[in-house]
Amino acid sequence: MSEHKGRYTFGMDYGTSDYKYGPITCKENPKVIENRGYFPDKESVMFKAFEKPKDVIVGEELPLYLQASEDLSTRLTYPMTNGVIEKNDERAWQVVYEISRHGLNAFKPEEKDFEGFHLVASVSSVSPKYMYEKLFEIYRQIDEEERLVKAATIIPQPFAVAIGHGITTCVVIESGHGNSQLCPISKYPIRNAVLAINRGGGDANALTAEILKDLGYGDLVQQEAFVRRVKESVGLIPIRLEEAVEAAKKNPDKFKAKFKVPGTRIVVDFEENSWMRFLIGEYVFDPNHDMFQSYFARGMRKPKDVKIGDTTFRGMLDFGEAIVQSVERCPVELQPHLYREIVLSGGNFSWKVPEKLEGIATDSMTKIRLLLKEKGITNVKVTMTKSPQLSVWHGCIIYGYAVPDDYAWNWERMEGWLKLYD
Amino acid sequence: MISSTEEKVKLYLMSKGMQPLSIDETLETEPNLSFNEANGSKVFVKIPSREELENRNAILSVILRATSFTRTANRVYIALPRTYAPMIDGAIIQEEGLGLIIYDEKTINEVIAPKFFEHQASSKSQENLDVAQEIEQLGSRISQLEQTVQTLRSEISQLKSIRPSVETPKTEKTETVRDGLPAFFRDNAWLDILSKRGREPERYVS
Repeated sequence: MSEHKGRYTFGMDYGTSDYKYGPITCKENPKVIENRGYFPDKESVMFKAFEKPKDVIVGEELPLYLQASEDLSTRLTYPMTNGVIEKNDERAWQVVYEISRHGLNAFKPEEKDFEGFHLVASVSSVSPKYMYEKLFEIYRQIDEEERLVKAATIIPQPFAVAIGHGITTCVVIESGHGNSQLCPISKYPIRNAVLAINRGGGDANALTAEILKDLGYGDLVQQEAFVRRVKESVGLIPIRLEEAVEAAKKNPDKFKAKFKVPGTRIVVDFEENSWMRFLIGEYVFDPNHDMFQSYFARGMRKPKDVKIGDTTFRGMLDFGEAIVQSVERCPVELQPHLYREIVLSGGNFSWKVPEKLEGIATDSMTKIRLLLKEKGITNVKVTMTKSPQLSVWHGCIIYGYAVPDDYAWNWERMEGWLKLYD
Repeated sequence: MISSTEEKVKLYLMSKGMQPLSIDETLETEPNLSFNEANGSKVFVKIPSREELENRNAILSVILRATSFTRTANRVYIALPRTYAPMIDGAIIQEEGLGLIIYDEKTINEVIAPKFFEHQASSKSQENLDVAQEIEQLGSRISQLEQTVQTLRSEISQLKSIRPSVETPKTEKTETVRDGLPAFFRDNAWLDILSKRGREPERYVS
C-alpha cells in the first residue's frame, strides 16, 4: 500500500445523530461530534464587526451559541435525521459542507507537500444518487478552497459495517434512533435488496413514555433523556411476549422493575405492572402484537410507511420479515449464506438480560434468530458488531487503505475513487 | 502565574507604548493586567477564565464586573477569544465604555476602543502616585530582566545536555502506521478483496 494512504486515508461517518471523522493515524478512535449545525443571528453588531462572520456553527463550540438564542427550532439543523437530505434543503447541505470542512481541517497536516486526503465518506444505504453527486460537489469545493482532498469515495453505512466487522458475505441491520436499514452484502453491497424501516430507538422511547404515563409519571415524560434512561434500565426483550407477560403477572416480585434516577429523589416503580417492561423490547423487533393496539388507539404514533426521496420506509414490518424480504431479493444460491451471517449494528440493539430472568428475557441476537425461526428459517448465525458506534468509521478506513488508487469511480457500480484534480 | 494569553495581551499593549504595572491586590475584584500610558493614565485589562466563558450569561457577568474597574482605571479592556466574541453584542461593551480586544492563536487586535474615564486626585496624592508608579515600573523592569536571565540560563544548560539527533520528532497528526496498522485491520478478509478492486472481473449485484 502507498505511504500516502498509510498516513492520509480519512474516514467520515455521517450518522443520524453523530458525525465521526479522522484519518487512519487516529488508530482505533476517531473524533466524534454531533451531526448538526447552528445558524446564528447575523444581525448582531458583533457579527458585522468581524472580517469573516460564520454562516453556520458546527463542532465543539456549538453549545455555547445554543444558550444565546431561544429559538433553537429554527436555528439548529440536524441534516441526516433520516439518512436522506432533500435535494433543495439548502440549510442541511450547508451544514454538511461546514461539518465536512471542519473534520478535514482538524487533521490538516503541516507538511508543505501535502496533496490532500484519500477521503472515504459513509452515508445511509437509502441515500439517493443525487446525495452522492452533491457530496462530491462539496468535497470538490473544499479542495478548491483548501487543498484537503486528493481523492474521494462514498460507501453505504452497512457496507462499511461489514468491512469493519471483517465479514464478506452477510446481511447488515443497522438500527439507530430514527430508523433502521438492512443491506445484504456479498463482496459488494446488493443495492436492490436494501430495505428501510421507519422504526428505531425513538419509537421504543415513545412507547416507554406511554407506559410511564399509565403508571402516573406523566409529568416527567416530556424529558426524552429521562424516558430513554428508563427504557435502557427497565426494558427487556421477551423470548415470547405472551409467556413473559404471563410469568411476570404471576410473580411480579421476580420481575420487579424499579429505577432510581442517579443524583435525584426520583424513583420509577412499575410495581405490579412490571410485566410492561417486556412490551418495550418487543416493540423494537415486532410492533404488530395485539397488546400494542390499545396504545395506538389512545393516540400513540403508529410507525407509518413513509416515502423519503425514492425510498419507502416501512413502519410496521417486523425485523424477521424484513430480513426475509431483503434476502429474497438476492440470487437464490446466495440466500443461505446470507442467513448464516447476520450482523447487528447500532445502539437500538443494546439490551440487557438480567441473570435471574434468563429463559424469559433474551438479547437482540437470539430474538432475531427466533423471529426467523417463526418464518421457517433455521441455520442462522447472528452477531453484534464488535464496536457498534465506530464500526462504520473502521470500515471506511479499511476501504480507503485497501482499494487501489487507480480504481476510478463508476456511477453504475457506485464505487471507486473520484480524483478531484490531476 | 502569568498565562500565555496574559503574556500575549501584555506584549500587544506594550507594543502600543504602555508600561506594565503590578496589580493592586487591595482591589475588590482584580484585573488580570494593569498598565500606565505615557500620559500617566491607568489601563486595566480583564481576561475572563475558561469558567467565566461557560455561556453568554457568564460573559455578561464578567463585563458587568469589569465596569467597576472604571472607578480606578482611566481605560478598561476586556479580552475575549475570537470564537467567543460573536456571542456578545458589541453595543453592550461600547455603552459601558469598555474596550474589546479579541485574540486567537495567531492574531490579536483591538476591536472596540475604550472610553477615557477622568479621575480626580489631589496634587500631593498625584505626586505620591507618580513616584509609586515609577518605583513599580522599575520593579517590573527588574523582574522582567531577572526572568530573561533565568530563561537564558536554563536554555544554555539544556543545549549543553542535548546530543545532536538525526531523527526529527513526528507530530501526532502525521504519525504513520508503518509500525502497525490499527487493531481492526488484523485478520480482516476485506483487505485482500478490496485490494483486488479493478484487477479482476466484477460480480457485483445491483
